Amino acid sequence: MSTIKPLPPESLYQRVDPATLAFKTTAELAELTDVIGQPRATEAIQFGIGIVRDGYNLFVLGEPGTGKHSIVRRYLDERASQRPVASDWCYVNNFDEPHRPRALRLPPGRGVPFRQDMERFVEDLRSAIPGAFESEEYRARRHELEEELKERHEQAFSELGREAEAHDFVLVRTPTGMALAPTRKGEVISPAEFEKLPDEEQKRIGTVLETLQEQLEKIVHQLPQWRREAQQRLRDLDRDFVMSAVGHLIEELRKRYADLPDVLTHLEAVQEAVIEHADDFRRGEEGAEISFLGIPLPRAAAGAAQRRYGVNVLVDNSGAKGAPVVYTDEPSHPKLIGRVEHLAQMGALITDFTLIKAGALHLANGGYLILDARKLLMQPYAWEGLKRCLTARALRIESLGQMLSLISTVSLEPEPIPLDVKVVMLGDRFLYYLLYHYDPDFRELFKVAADFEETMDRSPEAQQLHARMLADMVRRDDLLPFDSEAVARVLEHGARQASDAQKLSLRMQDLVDLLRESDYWARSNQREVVSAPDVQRAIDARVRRADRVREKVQEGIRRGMLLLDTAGEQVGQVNALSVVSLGELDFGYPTRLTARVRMGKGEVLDIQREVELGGPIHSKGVMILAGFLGARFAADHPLALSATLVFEQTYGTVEGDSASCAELYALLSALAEVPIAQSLAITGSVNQHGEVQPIGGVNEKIEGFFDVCAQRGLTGKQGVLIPQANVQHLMLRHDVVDACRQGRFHIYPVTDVDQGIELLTGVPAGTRDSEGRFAEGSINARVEQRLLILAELARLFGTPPEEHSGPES
Amino acid sequence: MTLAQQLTPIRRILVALDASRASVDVLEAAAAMAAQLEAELEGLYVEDINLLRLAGLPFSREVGLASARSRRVVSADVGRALRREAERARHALEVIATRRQVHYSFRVARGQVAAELLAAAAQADLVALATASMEIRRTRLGSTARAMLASPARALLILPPREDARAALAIVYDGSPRASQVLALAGQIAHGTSAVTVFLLADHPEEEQRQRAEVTRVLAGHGIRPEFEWVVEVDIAQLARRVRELRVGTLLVAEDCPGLGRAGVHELLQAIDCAVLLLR
Repeated sequence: MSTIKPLPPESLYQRVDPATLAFKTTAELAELTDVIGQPRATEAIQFGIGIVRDGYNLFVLGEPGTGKHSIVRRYLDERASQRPVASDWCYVNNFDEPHRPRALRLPPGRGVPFRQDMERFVEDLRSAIPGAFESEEYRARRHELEEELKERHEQAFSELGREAEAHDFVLVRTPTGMALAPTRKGEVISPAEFEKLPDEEQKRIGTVLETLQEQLEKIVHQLPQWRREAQQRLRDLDRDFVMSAVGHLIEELRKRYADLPDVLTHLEAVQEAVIEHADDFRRGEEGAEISFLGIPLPRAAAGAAQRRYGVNVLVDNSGAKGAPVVYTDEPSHPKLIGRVEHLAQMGALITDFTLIKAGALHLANGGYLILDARKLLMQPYAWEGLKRCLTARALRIESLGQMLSLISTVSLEPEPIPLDVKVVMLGDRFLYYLLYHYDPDFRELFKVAADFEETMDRSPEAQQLHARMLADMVRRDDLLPFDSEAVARVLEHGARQASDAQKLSLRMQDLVDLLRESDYWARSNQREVVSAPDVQRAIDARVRRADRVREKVQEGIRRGMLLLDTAGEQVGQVNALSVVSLGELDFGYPTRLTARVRMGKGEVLDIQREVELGGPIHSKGVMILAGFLGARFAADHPLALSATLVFEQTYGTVEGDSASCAELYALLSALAEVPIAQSLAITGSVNQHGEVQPIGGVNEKIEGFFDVCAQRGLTGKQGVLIPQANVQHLMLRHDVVDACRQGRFHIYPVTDVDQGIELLTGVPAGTRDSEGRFAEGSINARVEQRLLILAELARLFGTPPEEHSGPES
Repeated sequence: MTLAQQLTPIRRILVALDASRASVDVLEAAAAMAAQLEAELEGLYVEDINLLRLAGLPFSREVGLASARSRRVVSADVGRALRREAERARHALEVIATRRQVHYSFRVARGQVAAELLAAAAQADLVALATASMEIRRTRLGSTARAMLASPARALLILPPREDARAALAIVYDGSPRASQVLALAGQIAHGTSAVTVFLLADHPEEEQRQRAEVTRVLAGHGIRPEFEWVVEVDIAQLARRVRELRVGTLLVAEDCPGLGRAGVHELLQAIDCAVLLLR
């Protein structure tokens, strides 16, 4: 008989003694200033934030809900508050190349005043420039210039006219030009009269005409030149007057921004542009409404000047304290890098520098940007865009349409803005490793990894700290205070969540949820302090909400649809335990596992694998069985066995090796033809030496079998065989612990296969004696004998019939 | 019956048409006036006989104003160009008169432009023409305008090239019977127009007050509340500058206005850049 004793109830659940917590309610607990349980991650974060070198951006990795965001935010806020406020950034018109707007860096808080100053400047121009042009002085000078041109014309033509008259000629206007015609008595000679003139006279007229014609041509040749000169002088005049109107306004601005050379350069350009485009201000912007097919149109001219000379404040850090810390929950390419919007006007899309919009990188420039890696990677081209900016250390706004050459409308190429930002990306571990392995840029750009733990070691001190952390959460969420028993229960639940009695869960989100739900139940019961029953109710309610499938499985077993014995004995049949993760609930349940053996070629056939319903790890577990059998029982003869193993009534994929122990027991039972007690269930994996190895989900598996047994009535013989190494993980439900305490259910820790088979069959496993033989009647002896018979049979079947000597021989 | 009341109604407005932009402006102004006065428009296009003769001469050459190229003047081309100009003028008249809902007639004459206009002017109550139709002018007033000034036409509307449309009306008033006729005409033309400035030529305050009262009374009958400018001492240059400053669109003045004198009026015509309606 087996010497393995069931575990005592103390091993099944590691309580937290409320008395050790040394407080009555969480209200008494001081605020926790440090992050607990994450020394590696916090050191990495502090290092990553502190180091100012290219590529030292952070990737904070860990399971969701471990408090990565809040911890990172806390460190960043602290660091940012010690750093200077970031600059304001504006885009202004580039008058030389309007499609390449200029970026201006201004000290924090000066962007908006600059924009307002420029708006006022344009408003002032609206009155100053028309005023200058409407002044009597301007009109008089313009009139003088116009008259001068006219006089120049008049003088030239008058002189020619007088000379023409002196020679009896007159200047005649033709439909397209000027001509000279001979006259008699003030009238142009008719062709008939001309014919009658003597030849000498006709010749004279011809000669004179030639001379006059030359002069006329000369004058007409000079006309465009004179006109150009006059226009130039008019332009100079306009320029002088605009200058007089603009000069003092610009001068005021120059004084105000004397400390900013870039702004001064821009003001120079503005002055030139205003002079060049003074007509924009000369024509009144009031007037008839513009419409197209009866539809009123936005007045393009109305905002034209404001747009041309305006300031687009992209980043306004007025009122900021310290460097910016920006988190964006929608890290799409345009929201990250910035974008250029368009306006539809008369069916066309137009844009200018005022339609440039900032991205999260602009807002975080000079500080820190927090991004969610998964969200970022899901956005088309966002990751590539981010990398490009970080590599170039510059923010170049480029629309996706432009980048991919999808859109051919005229767009802008805003001047790139120098980028000085530390990016902190938060994400799952697998994302980190995927990026690390497959994206060479990632290694260069995210040199610091902060790896968050999901659990922390459990100790009285750790529990105390954990309690303070819970107290902080309670305060932050404005929950009712938790008494020490409630906190103890939360801590215990944390250990269960960690699937380890020696650990505490650091999944902050789960903890906060449990606290909130406990608070809800306490308030529902008009309590002022949350106590342990409230916490338990919250845990139970959460399970209840999620356990529909678990109940269906249990119901299936109860009603005999899923065949399972919890009493009696069967050869080649064991109760294996599986665990299922569905949403927030993990639950275990037993499955019948059977083994059949016959003569064969040493193969252990996994039916699950054959029908492609077995995962690779499961298949590996099964193959190990063949290794174990061969090594232990058929080291010096062929393993002439063909065994089939199957999880009965499973219709989905089976994965994991946690049933390999159970499979081996079933196989041994089938080979030895010794029945196995069906009141026991098995979990654990096995290696080729027959050692039992730990598995995951031990608590859920035990509870799954317990529930089946409890439904049918606990007999006191029922129990579960678990790997010894899993004992430290036990945090079983109270009802299971109570049943064990009362001797109605048992948990057996086993270290090797022999221990397990003894427990299951009640027959000694048997060890080899000095001659290498197993004790008579032992399981191992029976197995060995059976394998020998199979080998001999195989040998006989393998030789010609005349050589047959029969198995007896 | 006062002299003002004796003002013969303007029923026929003769418009001298050619192919210039100035001519279209004149047509617009004349049509507007015709609509106000319920008068009829008569468009006259004169085929310049000098041009036709020139085209017939064996050596005739013209210099293009835009191209500055010298080329032969061909009779057939000139004939076609004149017909085209006449048609364009007729079309412009038709469009503008129809829009203004004004009766109109159009005819083409051949001869010396000034002589033909003078002949036609004898039948008209008002002659509208541009200061000069040529882009290149030797004086502010072109030869035709000068000829019309010398003619006995009853009333002349002389328009400068328009750079911008100015609606404001101004009158030169000296209290004389001729000035009263101008005032009456202004009332008819500017009916409903608010912007009317009256230059009162009065050498003492009592006279100025008397004139102001008279003008106010007359224009009030047309719903007009005028602004006044008192001119104590007539200085043509100063008056012209003031007209410019006020951005006057049309100035109404009697040619034989005693306050200015005929020479003064002619000098004013040369000095100002707005349209002038000269009552004779």
